[in-house]
Amino acid sequence: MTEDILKKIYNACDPYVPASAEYYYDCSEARGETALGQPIQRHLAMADDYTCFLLSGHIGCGKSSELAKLSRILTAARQPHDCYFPVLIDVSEYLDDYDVSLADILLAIVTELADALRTRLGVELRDNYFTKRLNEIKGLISSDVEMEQGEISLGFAKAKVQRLKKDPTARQKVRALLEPKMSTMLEEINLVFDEARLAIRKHRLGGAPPPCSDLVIILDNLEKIRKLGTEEEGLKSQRELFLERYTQLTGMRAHFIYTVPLRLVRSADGPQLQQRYGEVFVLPMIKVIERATRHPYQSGIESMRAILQKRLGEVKLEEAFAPEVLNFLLTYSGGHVRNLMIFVQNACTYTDTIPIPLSAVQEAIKRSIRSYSTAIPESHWAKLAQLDLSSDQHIPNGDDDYLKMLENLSIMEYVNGSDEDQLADAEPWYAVNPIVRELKKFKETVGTTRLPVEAIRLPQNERE
Amino acid sequence: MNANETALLDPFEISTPDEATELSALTRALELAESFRLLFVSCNQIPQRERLMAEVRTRLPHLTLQTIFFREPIQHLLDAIQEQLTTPLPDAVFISGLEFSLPIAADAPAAPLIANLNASRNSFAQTLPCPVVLWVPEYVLTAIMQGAPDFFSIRSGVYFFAAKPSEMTELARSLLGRGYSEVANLSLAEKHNRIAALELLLSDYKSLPENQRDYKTEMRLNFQLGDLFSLLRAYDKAMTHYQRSLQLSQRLGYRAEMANLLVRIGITHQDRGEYEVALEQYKQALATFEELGNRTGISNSLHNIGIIHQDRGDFDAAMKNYQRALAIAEELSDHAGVASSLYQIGRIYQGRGEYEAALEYFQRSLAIEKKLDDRAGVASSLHQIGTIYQLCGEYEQAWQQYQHSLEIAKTLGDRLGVASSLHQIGILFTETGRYSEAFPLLLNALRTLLELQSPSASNAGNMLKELRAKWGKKDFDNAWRASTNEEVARWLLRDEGVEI
Repeated sequence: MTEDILKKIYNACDPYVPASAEYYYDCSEARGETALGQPIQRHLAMADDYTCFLLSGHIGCGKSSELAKLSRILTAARQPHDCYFPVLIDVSEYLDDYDVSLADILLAIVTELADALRTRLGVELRDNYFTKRLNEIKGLISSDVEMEQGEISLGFAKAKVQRLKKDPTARQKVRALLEPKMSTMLEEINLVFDEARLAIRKHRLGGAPPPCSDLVIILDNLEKIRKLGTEEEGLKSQRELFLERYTQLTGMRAHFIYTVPLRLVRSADGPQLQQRYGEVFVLPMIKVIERATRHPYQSGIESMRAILQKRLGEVKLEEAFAPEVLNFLLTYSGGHVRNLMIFVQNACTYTDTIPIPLSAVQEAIKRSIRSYSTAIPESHWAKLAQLDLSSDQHIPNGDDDYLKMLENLSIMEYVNGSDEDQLADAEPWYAVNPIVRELKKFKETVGTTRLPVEAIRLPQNERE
Repeated sequence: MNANETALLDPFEISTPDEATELSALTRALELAESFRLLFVSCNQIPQRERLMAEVRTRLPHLTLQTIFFREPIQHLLDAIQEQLTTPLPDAVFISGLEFSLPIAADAPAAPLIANLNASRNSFAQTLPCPVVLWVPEYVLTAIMQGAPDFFSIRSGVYFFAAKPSEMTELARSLLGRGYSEVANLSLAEKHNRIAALELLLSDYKSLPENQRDYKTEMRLNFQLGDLFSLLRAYDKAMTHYQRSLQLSQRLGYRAEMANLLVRIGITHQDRGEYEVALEQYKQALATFEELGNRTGISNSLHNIGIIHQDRGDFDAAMKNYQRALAIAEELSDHAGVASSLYQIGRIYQGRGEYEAALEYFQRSLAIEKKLDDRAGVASSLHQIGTIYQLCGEYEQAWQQYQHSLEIAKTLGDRLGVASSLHQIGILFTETGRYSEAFPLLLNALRTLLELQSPSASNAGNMLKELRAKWGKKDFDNAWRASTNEEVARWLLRDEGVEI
């Protein structure tokens, strides 16, 4: 019995799978941000042109879960004008992160859209530009059996196009064919959108669900791209895609949501992103401690508990963990959902009894601490210590070391709830990952760091 | 909560995890997992990994566990696993040997293998229905964290195993048992692998508690690492390890080792053209060897001092040293020593224009080196024989020797040797009017020599200028522009010469 329950806990807390409807829990309050759904729905309702949103956040903070949720909301709206046809594309199924071109991205969009129209509505797009191009490269992407089946139709091309991800030679040839005609390609993709729009507006399955008003194309995992064309790997490539090519990314006749790297959003280029795309949504960590004081933040801890309870299903949290053990676990997660899952899974392997004892959780967390001990570059320690000791918990704008720390999760971004002073609290603040704070080297550095002298601030009047 | 937090800090002192605890946790994870799970085991030494894997098997007799060991470098882990996966599918897959694909620790985070891991994180879960355990040394784990953070973030656990002293001793014995010539004859890839193995072992030794440290073995590990880096012409790293080894030998009072290290440090300086410093080291070593009555050491030091005399143009003094060194080596039946002194004496004859005598000496050294299977030595002798043929105008013969020597240097990863061969072939082509073929060879040689801070760089530079005079300004400068290299340009411009 105990064994079965442990098995259930272990397998339910898989860090890999984004939350399905069954597992999703809305923790907007604790994140200090309203969930993605509402504001995006409002934007869509008000916009008289096609809109483009960016979504960002730490690795494993819940972006994919939020996007899946958004996609469900958009489909399920009661009012016809609020109902959309979302196409959620996991671009990592199509793209090789280390070798991406804009043509690859456009091809992924068209293919996934055609697949969604076919599987959800039974609609086939008519022969278009992309079908023709695909048939020209048929030999590169089809198996022998598929070759015998004749012409490729766009709605059935998904598996074939995804093969390009692992075949750099074929990819080069496909690009050679598509790229010289980039402006044509954009024009043609817009025609595909027009046709798709007609199809979804007409469509009515037995009259029950309202017809959808428009397309919302969601590109998840686009932030993972490391290299675009001949650009230098990393931030340079990401900059090129999201800033330099923004006219292409925003020039398509459909609503779009792209995921962008947090490091780019918080870099000196952040404000430019905002200007070019409009809204940039950043999904912060779930706040489990208060800014500056590090006191536990109850509402956040409750959210994390609720997320975990959703995962465990009929196994009650109280049955799985002793109360102080759960608190301990949640505090060390830093409000990072995927880390929490990893801790729980790992703790299961250090016990054969339930509730899971404190010692097992400590063993699990110790292993995480140990893996961080070698992964932090020497130059980061002093800066980590400075952030930890600072009173305002800001990071200097554009400091590349801090941006790297955001990327490798040695620091975490939080936003306070908007229950108090709205403007002051909308800005993000940062804290050192609780795991990193336990490292001996960190503690030693904190012991020796001298803070730069603060500029003196005039005391403010007490608020009424 | 705050009080709680302080009370609970102690458990996080990073101590060496207990093998029994880790082993049972890893076994548990495999029992609990129902589909794909990504698990890491950090364990530096391969023999220890094998022992632990066998232990897991005995504890889980009802599960089929497939082990895939990658001894050859791979680029796509998932593809490589799929090729070897057995049917019916196993209940879990153990992967080991990734260090062979990532021989240089500092380069590991940016290696294609790691990048591909990150890019294929989703495909892992989609294609492999069972848990996958990556058994890796700690530096590979770090490389994955840094270079493939998304892949690392979907892990279900990391288990740490520290090396066992008895296994460390065993491994140290097998790595250190053979001498310098064994190390020198390793191929380039083998040298990198050996460096990786030694570095891992050394880090295991360093992480032992203070009262269990084995400084003698650490000294010897550093010594061999120094030799390997020196053979790969990574002088700074070589020097760091030699110095560390020297410190330890002083602390332990091992005087013969100390003197040997001084010789090695001397060679490292000499390779960079720092003759004064080198001579100083050799003399100090010689004095120590004399005190100890260590005849091999005396012979080696005399020989090396001879080289310095020769480099400075004092051929008579050099000859005296070589002959004394040779006599001792013969007496001791130190064949390697005999071969190197014969070779150097040949070079003196060559310098005096006595080509026949020189050729005879080179051929004698070549014969011994072949018998000893000392490939590095064979390459040098062949090279030198080539120069004699070239001096006598027998170009075809000369070219063959160089080509042969070049091939050996390439397999050994000896960049200086490769540059020397290219340089020599470049001269040969210049002499025979094959200018356009000579140009890339000389340029290539110059680049390497500059990079290695070799004093021979000036020879290569002069040869390029000579080529320009013979070939003609126009052709040379066109070729030059087609392959511009700022560093070389700056170097050549330093004393007039080429227009860019």
